[in-house]
Amino acid sequence: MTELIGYNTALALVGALLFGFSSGHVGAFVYLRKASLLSDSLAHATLPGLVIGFLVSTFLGMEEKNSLVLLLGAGVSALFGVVVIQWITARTKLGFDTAIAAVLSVFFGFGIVLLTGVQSVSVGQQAGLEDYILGSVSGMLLQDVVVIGLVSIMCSAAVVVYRRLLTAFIFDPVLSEMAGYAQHRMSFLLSLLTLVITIIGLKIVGLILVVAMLTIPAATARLWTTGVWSMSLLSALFGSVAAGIGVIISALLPSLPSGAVIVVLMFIALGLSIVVTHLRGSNV
Amino acid sequence: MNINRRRFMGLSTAAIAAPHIALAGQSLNIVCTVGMLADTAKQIAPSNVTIRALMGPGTDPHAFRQTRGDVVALTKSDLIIRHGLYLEAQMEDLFAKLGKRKTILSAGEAVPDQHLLPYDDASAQYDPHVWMDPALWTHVADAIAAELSSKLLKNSAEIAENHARFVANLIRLKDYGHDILASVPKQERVLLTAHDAFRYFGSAYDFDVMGVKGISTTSEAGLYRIEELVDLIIERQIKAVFVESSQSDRNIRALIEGTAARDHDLKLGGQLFSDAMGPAGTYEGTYVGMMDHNLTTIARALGVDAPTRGMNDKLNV
Amino acid sequence: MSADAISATELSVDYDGVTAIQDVDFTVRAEKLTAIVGPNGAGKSTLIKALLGLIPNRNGTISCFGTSPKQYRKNISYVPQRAQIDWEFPANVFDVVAMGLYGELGLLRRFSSAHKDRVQSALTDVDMADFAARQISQLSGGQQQRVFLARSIVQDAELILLDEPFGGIDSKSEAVIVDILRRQKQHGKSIVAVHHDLSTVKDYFDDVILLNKTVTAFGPINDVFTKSNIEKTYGVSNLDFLTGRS
Repeated sequence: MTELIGYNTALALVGALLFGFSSGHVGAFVYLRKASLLSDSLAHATLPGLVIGFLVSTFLGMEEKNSLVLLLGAGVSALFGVVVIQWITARTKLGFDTAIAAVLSVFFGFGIVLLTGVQSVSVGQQAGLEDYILGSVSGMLLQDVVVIGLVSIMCSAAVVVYRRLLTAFIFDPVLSEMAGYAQHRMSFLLSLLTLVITIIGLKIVGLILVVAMLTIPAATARLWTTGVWSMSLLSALFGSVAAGIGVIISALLPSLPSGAVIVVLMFIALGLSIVVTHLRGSNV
Repeated sequence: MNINRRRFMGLSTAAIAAPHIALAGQSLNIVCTVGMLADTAKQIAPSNVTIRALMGPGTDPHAFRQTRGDVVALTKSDLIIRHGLYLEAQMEDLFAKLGKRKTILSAGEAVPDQHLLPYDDASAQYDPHVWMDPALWTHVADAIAAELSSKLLKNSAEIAENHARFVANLIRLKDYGHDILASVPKQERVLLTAHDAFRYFGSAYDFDVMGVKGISTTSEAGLYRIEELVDLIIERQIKAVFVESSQSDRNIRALIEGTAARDHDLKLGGQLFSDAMGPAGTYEGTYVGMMDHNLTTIARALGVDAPTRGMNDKLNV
Repeated sequence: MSADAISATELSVDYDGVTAIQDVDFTVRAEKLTAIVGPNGAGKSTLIKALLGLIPNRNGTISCFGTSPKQYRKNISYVPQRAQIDWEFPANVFDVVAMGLYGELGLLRRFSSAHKDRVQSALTDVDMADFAARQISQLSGGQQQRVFLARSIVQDAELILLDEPFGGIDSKSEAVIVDILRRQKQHGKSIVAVHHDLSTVKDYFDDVILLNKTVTAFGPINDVFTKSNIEKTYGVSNLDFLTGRS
């Protein structure tokens, strides 16, 4: 008896749909804020934390690699990366771009050093750490999807609740502050959402491709709409559909890495959108 | 591990002069890539030889990244023993360079071609996991013994004795495997592991072997593969799957969940040592112990009442 | 006599590690159009930021209608320089004006038809009612400025601060904007604008503050906008043409 969709595919599909939706949703605001590069830096800065989290969970004797500890480590080191970026921009003459590039390369490089160093630690299963770099949908378990699903829903809910403030903050930070919402708080909110999306995306598309989930659907949606709320919903839709189709394709065809397929699909959608709206003479 | 230039030059000179020094009966410094080779060399070599493996327990040789320290160790050594057959594919360039001034023994390539299994239908390469068949590993032991004898003429007698003892153990291992697995019926002779490292085991003991990932671990398994295996597990009513010490267990756990959703109780048969041995200093951290552990674990998972502490009653349980 | 719209005493503000304004004293009369003029680097932007409560002052006090700017925030509306806005942002004229109500609406209050009416009415006040659905990327300079004015109007703030409202705008639009500001004054608003064009200060404004790191002079134009005061502020001479006096 073969079912239409196997259990593992169904699981991966649910996780991908929910994650794709929330990453597109949050990504719209990241895009408008012009913080896409920052999100890439953040994603690369997770690597040292992942490895350290792995070491911590191993030496605390936790079962295999406790996912939550790894993701916590990833979050902490990415957060630290954000702090360093802000420090560099505020305290030195180096610009924002330089700070982002510096943190991205240094943190990621340090992570690779740690990853290589972990080889000599006599514990098994560190090969699993590399799954977080490019994602691994095949190994999705129920507990993974539950976490990814819940967190995705929470992120989208936060976007819905804060949509006005985020819009006002991005468009005119002074107005937002005068309305009683301090700039640094709104900036922190957006960074936090980006961070959370990055963390849960590590398992599905990996840290290298997470930035694509936050950027491409948003850029595509921007071509089709003229309002922030509709843009964010469309972006969420694009992200979700691409993620879902990507998973289905990787289940139907052998030897396809799901994360990469998803990104390629999103890119195709973007390409088509550019062509169509250009031909249409879009006045968006 | 700092090494300044002067010391490096001194040691390089020493390395070139090593064969002459060795003939004089002084110690030999051997660096191996994988642990199985290091242990085999250790069993065969006389006591005045230092042997070290670059890759320890739990390290995946397909994904191993050599550090500068590793390169220095290789350069300092008197003899390099690598597996070859592209097990250490990412180190090919390094060994090509080192081979110009150092002795490198590609021990795995001592196995005659007719016993080697092809990598896949397309390429001309071979599956490198030959240590899974003790009978084939005999050839490796022979090659190592020959190399050691040529470098340590004074210790030839001792080397020959060690070699004979080791080969005898290999034969015992092979027989032990046959004995305990004899009672497993044909349709249950299936071994499903994290990656395709056990083909030589399969041909040695008449098992169908499958890995979630292929022979090399570097690419993602893919959802398609997982679904394919779930169908296969249900179809053939496979009872147990195995995780490996040097691989992530996520794919295996995904298989267990996937088959459970179809009401099939797939058990985790245990952890096998595929590309790396057990913890250093333990019985499982030796070649014989590693193979003993694998055979015993597989047999017991398939319902055979094999001795819990294995062939030599030394397994840690 | 109504309370002063703004009152600053011995105000010193640092920005970027440098003292931008030092020992600044002035008052802004309520229900007047007041211009802040001064050369580049005079500290005008810093003063605005301090008045909005966005940056702290090292010394001195600021009060708006008797309370601190932070407490008074909801009653100040700010019209930024047009160059500071991303005009490619996906929003139409209505959206931008509606943002003026976000402070009131908070997180979850519904945007009701009453709110919609207020936005429409503000748009009518600036003669942009027909442009409600127009994308802001398709507006001229004067139209962009009027949209922001509409946003201020919808906020119904008592104090409106504008940063160079006439920058890069044609004279016809300028006249329209001055008109809008005057009408707001008649509605009882107090208006303060950083203004760059000395030649129009007299025509558009009632009061002026001459600023160059410190306040040279402030008060009604007729009293204060003198040749010598201007020359002192700008550090130049021979500006007869500006004041129409010799």
